[in-house]
Amino acid sequence: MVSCALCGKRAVIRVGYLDKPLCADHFSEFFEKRFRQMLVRFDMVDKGDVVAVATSGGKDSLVTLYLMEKFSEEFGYSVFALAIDEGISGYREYKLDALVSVARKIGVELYVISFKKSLGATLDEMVNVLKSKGMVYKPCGICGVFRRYLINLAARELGANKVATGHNLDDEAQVFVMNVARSGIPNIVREWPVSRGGHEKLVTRIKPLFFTPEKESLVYSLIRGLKTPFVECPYVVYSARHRVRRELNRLEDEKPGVKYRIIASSLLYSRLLSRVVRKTTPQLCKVCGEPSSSEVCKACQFREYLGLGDVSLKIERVS
Amino acid sequence: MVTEVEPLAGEELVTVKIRVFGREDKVVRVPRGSTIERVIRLLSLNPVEVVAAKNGEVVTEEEEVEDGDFIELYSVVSGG
Repeated sequence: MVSCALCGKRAVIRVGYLDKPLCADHFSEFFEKRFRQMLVRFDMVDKGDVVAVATSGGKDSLVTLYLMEKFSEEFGYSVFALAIDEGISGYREYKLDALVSVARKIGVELYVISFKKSLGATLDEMVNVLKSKGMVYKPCGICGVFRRYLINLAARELGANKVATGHNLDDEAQVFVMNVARSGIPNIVREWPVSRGGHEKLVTRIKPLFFTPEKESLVYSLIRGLKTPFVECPYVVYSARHRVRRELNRLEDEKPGVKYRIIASSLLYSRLLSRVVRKTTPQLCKVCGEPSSSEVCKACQFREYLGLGDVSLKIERVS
Repeated sequence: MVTEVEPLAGEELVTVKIRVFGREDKVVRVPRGSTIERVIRLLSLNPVEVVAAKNGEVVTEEEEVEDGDFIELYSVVSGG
């Protein structure tokens, strides 16, 4: 048996950052303390805030929802969960079931917005159109744009002034590597645990798991019984990011700490580049009136490409 | 199918049942004293991407397996 470095009980994980094995109790204490420190250090929440937790039903968003609710009383903010049902057959329904179960268990309201009802088509239907047009755009690109668009709209509609997401250290390391590969300088500048959109219509985004390795998030979710089924999005095969993730994990296995070093570089470059990159204020999309970096926002460009009608936001309360 | 490590002279093998990502059950035979990490690598998986539970308890990959153990592997990479 491998023992906890602090109390001698059976260890559940060796925490790389501490290079110590910890038992379930001490690991949970460490994990929650880091989460809380993120809220404080990056001024993520204020008293009276209304926080929408963007939840997919995966482990990271369930952990974020669970801990945002846990600390809500101490910091004086309120929390609800927001989920997008993209309409991915054989995947989303199972993840949503897990989310409904956790939301009920911890007593938070859950609102669901479906692509079908708000955009007029499921992602599966959109992918059929993409295929018929030669897959110029990939499903993940389309899905990500519509998800962010609807989450921002729905959060605003429901009175939230913050959106919390479950992005973890691994996600952020992948994003940085991909931004470097694409020379995405404005994106490198933007990547930070708190993203203020620079426009009143863009709800501020917070990422309390920014410094949490994905593996630790899974261990914590198992300890807390935040169960999520073993299903993979069928479109993951199209995702360039998935390949980056595998490569970074190979590197991490060979040289532990690689992802922490990437994140440290990411934050450093973000700060350094912010001194020389001119800040732009989002304009309003001339089609839908939502904030955009170009005349017509990406969501409207994709809607036209896919032959979809106007956005008609439909929010359903599920629990 | 049983995946077996070729034992060295005098080495005793133990039998362990593995459930991989809730989808597939496997049996491996490894030398006594092998760690869960060794089992994970034997299955061509990256320990960075796996969390293990031994007989229902989440444990570190440094734990040794014993004859008759039931190991569940959870995927860190959720892909969605």
